[in-house]
Amino acid sequence: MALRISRKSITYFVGPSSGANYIISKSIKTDKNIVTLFPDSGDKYECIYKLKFINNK
Amino acid sequence: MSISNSLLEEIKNYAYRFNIGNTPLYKIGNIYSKLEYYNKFGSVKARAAFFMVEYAIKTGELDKNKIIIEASSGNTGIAIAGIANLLGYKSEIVIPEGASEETKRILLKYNANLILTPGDSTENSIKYVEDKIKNEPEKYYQLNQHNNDLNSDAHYYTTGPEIDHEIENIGYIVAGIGTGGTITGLARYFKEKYNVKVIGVIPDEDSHIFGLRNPFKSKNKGLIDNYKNYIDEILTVNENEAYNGVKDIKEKYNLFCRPFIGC
Repeated sequence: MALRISRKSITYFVGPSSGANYIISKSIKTDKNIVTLFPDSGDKYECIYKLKFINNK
Repeated sequence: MSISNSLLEEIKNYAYRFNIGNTPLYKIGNIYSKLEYYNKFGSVKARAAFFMVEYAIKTGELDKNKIIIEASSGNTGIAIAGIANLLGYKSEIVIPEGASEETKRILLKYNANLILTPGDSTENSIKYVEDKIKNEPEKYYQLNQHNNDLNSDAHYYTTGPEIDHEIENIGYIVAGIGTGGTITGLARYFKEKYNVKVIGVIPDEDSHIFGLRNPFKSKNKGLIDNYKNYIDEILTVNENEAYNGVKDIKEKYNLFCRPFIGC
């Protein structure tokens, strides 16, 4: 049962290029609107691995 | 290559029939983001792939006796394989063996002939395709995404007008640079109409960020070279910053992406 719940709760991430676009967009100070793209879904296993690595640093 | 506007409008309307384009625009403060993973085949690359494939079909350059061949790190390959499968064409997608298992599985699902080349970079994949085209030109058709203007036109004709239709008072366009298709298409569209600044995003020297590359370090500068005057500034991001951005988007805005297997 626990395994089933954990499988069901797998979440999906935007890809790292979306993260990069978002970080740059957030750094711009302007009264006007900023347009960017979140190009794709991230590879879920790679995202989980990288985020764990970053959090443990 | 000079292509008539009416043909590109025709291709655009055909793309919309297949759920390619018309993706949601999500608001985070004064940042509006196109959620491109809502495209059929799961990424922004569906737009360019559809324009390139459909143009080749409409002009007779591609027929069903030829195999579409392309080197890719993932998203373009998936989009081409999906579109080829949808329209009844064969595809051969060449990716680095280091590409994710998820990518390989999706390519096989779309009936692509999957070729793996050594290493993590697409350099060997590109060389493989060049050799195939040189040795068997009658068998293969290459879309050549890095140098194909249709890659940029797809965004000039679809992504740009979609955004323009939804919001006003745009000051900045921020887009990652991979092949340069997205940023150059958007830049051409918006700079013709408004006073906007266009900012390109690339990985810093020590980082690998999937989908982005520094074209100025590559032998093939492709579309960026053709339209470099449209880009005002290029900023770098490192891998940790990019993944912290992913984390922010996930935790603060609760944005869930669709898994794109089977979509």
